[in-house]
Amino acid sequence: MRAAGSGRLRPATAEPHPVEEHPGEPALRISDLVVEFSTPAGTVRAVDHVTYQVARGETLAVVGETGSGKSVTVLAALGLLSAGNVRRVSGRAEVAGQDLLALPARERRTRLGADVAMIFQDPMSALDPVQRVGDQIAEALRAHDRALTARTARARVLELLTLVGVPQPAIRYDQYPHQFSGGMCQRVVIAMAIANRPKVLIADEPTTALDVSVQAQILELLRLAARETGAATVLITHDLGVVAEMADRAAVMYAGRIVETAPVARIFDRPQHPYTASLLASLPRLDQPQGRLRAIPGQPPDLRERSAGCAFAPRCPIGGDRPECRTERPVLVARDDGAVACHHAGQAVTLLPQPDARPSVAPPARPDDAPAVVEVVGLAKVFPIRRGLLARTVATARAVDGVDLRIGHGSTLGLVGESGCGKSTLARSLLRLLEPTAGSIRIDGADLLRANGRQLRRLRQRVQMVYQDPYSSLNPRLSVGDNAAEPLRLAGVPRTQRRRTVLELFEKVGLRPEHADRLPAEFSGGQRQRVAIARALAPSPAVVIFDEPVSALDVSVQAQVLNLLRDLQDETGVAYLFVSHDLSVVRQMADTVAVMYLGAIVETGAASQLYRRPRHPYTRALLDSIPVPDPSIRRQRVPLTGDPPDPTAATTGCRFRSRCPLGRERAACADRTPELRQVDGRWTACHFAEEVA
Amino acid sequence: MSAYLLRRVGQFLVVLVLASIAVWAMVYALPGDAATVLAGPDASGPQIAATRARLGLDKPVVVQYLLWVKGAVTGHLGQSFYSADSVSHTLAERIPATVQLAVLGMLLALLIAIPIGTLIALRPRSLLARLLHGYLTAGLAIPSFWLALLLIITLAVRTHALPATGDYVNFWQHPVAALRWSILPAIAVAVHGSCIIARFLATSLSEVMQRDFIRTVRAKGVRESRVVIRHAMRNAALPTVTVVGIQLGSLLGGTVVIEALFNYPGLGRLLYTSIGQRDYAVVQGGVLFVVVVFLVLNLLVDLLYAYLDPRIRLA
Amino acid sequence: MATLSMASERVRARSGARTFLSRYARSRSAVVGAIGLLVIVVCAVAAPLLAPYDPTAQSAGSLLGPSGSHWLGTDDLGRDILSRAIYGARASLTVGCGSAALGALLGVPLGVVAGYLGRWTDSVSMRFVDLLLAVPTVLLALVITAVIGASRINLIVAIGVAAIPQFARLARAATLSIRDRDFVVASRGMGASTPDTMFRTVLLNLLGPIMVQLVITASLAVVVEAGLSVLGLGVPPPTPSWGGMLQEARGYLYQSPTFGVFPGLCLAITVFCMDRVGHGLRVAVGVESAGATTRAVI
Repeated sequence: MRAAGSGRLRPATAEPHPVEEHPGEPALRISDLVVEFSTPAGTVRAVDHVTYQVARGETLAVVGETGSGKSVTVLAALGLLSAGNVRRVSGRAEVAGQDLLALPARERRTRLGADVAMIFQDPMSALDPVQRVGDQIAEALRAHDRALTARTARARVLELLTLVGVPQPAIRYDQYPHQFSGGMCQRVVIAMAIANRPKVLIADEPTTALDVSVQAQILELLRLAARETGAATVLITHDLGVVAEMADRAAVMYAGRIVETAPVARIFDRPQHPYTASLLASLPRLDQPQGRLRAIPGQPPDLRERSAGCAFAPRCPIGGDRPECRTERPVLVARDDGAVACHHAGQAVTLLPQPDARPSVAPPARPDDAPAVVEVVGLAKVFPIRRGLLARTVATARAVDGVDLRIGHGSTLGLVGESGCGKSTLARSLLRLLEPTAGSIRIDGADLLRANGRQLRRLRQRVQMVYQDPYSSLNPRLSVGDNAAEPLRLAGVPRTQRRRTVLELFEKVGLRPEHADRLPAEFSGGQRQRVAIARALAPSPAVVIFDEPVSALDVSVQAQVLNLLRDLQDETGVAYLFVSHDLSVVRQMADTVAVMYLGAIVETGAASQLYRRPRHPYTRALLDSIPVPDPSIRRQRVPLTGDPPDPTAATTGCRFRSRCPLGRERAACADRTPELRQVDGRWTACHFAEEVA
Repeated sequence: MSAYLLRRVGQFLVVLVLASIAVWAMVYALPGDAATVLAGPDASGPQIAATRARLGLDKPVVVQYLLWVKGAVTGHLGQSFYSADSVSHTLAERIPATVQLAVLGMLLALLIAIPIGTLIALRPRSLLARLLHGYLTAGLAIPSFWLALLLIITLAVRTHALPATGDYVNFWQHPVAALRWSILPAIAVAVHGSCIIARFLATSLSEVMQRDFIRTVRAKGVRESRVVIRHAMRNAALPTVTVVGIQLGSLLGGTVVIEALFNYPGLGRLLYTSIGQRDYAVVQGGVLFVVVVFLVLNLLVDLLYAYLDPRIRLA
Repeated sequence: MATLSMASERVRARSGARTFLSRYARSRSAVVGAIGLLVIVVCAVAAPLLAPYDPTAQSAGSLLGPSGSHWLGTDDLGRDILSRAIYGARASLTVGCGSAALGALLGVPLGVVAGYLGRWTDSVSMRFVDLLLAVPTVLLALVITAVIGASRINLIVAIGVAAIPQFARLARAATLSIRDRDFVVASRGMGASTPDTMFRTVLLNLLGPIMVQLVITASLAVVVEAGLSVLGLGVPPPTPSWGGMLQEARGYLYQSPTFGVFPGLCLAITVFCMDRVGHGLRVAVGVESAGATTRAVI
């Protein structure tokens, strides 16, 4: 029940509630939970005897890849699975001693939002598009307190909005979700969740859909929410950085089972399960590139194929061919301050890269004077914003605003920035998918923007692109072979020769040539991305543009693809433009890095320098925002405030001024737009670069 | 909103002009000169001459069109050769009958469709939903004119419970008689319409029920009835409004076959007989009326949609 | 290369056609519909072999009830109703399929071009479609047949033109929904010409929904054709058609009620089968709801 009467949340300034520790009685205890779905391929057990508990004031992170059952577990526990094909939900889900699954549906519903509340992954779609935002929060209050008057409810919603950091709550109350940014929507969802001071707060990938800087803000807010309510928190995520940053304990799930659970420090220091260890080893790091990542072979498990043995055995570097792993399913047993389900627990820790054994020498930096493959000078793209009946241009958005770039033969340029910074526009201009407004692009010395006819066709072969979402970048009606052969078809290469080239490429990117005639739907995300890579390499391009190529992939698969890209570059000497919001991935891949903000490059230089000593406050803030997968270095950070800016807003002076921790007050930043200048061996566009340490 | 509104009204005007041109030009596609065609096959010399004068057939084409539009706007659509009445008068006589039938049919259809659609969406696996699915499948498969014949055979011819023909009686003056004379044609058109609306409502409601925000509302602890009525229905109603609008539009456009089968004195039967009699002045006026009504209705539906959806209203 | 063997271990091996059939077969009613439609097609094609009598021969007495020699009785002119019903499938199917095909042939390219190019091309084509949509199908067909006369070809033209908006709107909406998907962008990025992108990449991905719409439109066209025949404006007599039979039966509702039942049943079964096949296809090709393109109260 609600904390009667006193359940009123106070504004953030009030003293936080003392957290009472009840080690004996956890706020949430899930035990022996089994969830099965019936599918055309048979019964699928998505959750397989999962047990975990969280105490008040504690944060448990549940970690896993796609299909590990981490979300299904909690949705089933709360009775929120809406799929029509649920076959079985059994076990117990106790909130404050009361088993939710034993309650009739109607009564279980009354506990939701009051005793246990949830925060969802995609905040934009989590709100009803046709109801006022404030009313939606008020509904959470009034559902559990019928006596609440509209006026009091409104007043409390305004308090809640203030608490979660929504500016101008009185105005925002009456607005609709489409008028909110993603980060603001998530704040609203959090306000809804804490409205009734729940005992348990469940957050399902709460920051996955958000930008890095907004992610940091929301994580901060979640911490505040947990502190304010004293709730037990379950944080479901695939991001080990978030785990290290937020959680007290972690439970690692694989194929519907918990394979390891322990305090966070122990999980990261001494993982006992080979899957946990492999995950940690496969992460790209911020501090330095690792040469090759230790990828986990294969793909996340297909739950339709259940084996008698350990689900991880086919991918396991330790148990792979041991008979007990193939035939006997390991159970969770207590070990080293936690529990682990592995026949060979204890050997896993050897899988972690030893700090000193890690290849400390970065791959030889490519000489900067290598001949330029791509040379961009003063590139600008301005989008007119049309309004009204006659679609008159009422404003312009300077998506790309005077960018210079140079990519040398065989080297990789990493382009980093948040959504809306213009990085995708820039990438698409290089393909002439968009016609730039000004500037020049030279490919192998030839002017791309002036080229037409035959010459353009030839130049287009030289620049290829790999897109973010492998599920949408392949034509679903063409076989993967034909997909990969498209650029060759367009270049007029005869069919038999196309076929031959594609089969060779398939071999190179790690696909079976005999699968070339199958449709993309039969392949997993990682495999499709390999097809897209084969397609990009087919016409032997000079440069390949990667637009967030691994952000849609699971961590373990991500490492495979990154390794493949490195190998291919070593082999062919093709140049890469690697566009990403993920600084760790860029660190892994790039020789040179350019950081983009509001259409312009604010800092660029050698990756090693930039990451070690950022000189632009934005670069610095981005690096600070990233949750690092190492619980021993939880930092006191200064997250950026506000949302990534709107490129239509006209600014004078420094673009970053409004969010800058340094320049907000300074006259120089308001008056003069900083130009890129050489500072400490790299180029930085900040008047006060020397102050950033 | 205002930009959307202006654009939508602009589109409406464009299509309105195009439609009027098409209806006007239709007569010129017929063999023979327009005055002779419009005055009817048995028209006398003076009648043809009068028509020719009205249309200004010796003037440039644009002027002819504008003259015709001017006539249409002021209600001078020419002379029906058959009834010796003006076309506008003939139409005005028939329109109330069709409107009454359309409204009655649509009310009936909604009355059937809304509960069925909702039930199928919310309890798709229940026995009742399966039975209702059967009704939808049958209702969509049975052509309304055959249903009309079956109704006539069973309820009129066999049992004499209701008249085998329909007739127009003003509902506000004699409600019972009006129902008695128009209930069979109304059922005949309502069944098919109800199935289309119910199926659409069911699809869109069950799609909404799968959306993420429904899960959020449930997680707040809101009662299921409120989840459905306040959140799911509200969202599912938006696209359904469009379908209802289109259905009503085609009912108002005259249910030609049904009206003909029941000898119901509506616009549809008028158009049908006029085509048979080569009374093209009436056909032209009638088609123009139907098209304008349909376009206006569509405009209203779109504006209603825009008003109901804050994403458009506040854009 | 170390990565070489990793990716391709588990690829679900199922051909496209097999997947399609197994998904289609998941709906029992869709299978029933397909079988039913097959039977109707066989009736139409092999009518001379199946029909017990010449459909136009006026041999026996008129308006006879069902008997051993005439299973469904005879009509007002003493013709065998069963034979006429079997032959009647021809008119319904040819007009139904013909006009759906015509509508698709004209509507789909219009919709794809409008959706892909956008701007004024889109505005112009959609206003044209709005115009066609503003006239109810039966009325449009009525006017067109009145102008060009009633014959099978003219019926196909009249109903086919009325079906253009359904296909154009469907194709436009589907084009809009995939126009900015990465594989279409990729096609342009690789230097494909606009027609190549529109009619190879985009159109190829619309085939599923178009197939579904074809069946649905055909079923509507069957009804419209019959409706016109009921008004005496369908396939001209003495060629048998189901709608025409209903029209003939209208005058004899008192004398022979069964006369009007059987042709209508044939119609309803045909429409039912097409509707179910459409449903099965929709499931099989993964198209969601049919949308609001159906409008056929007549």
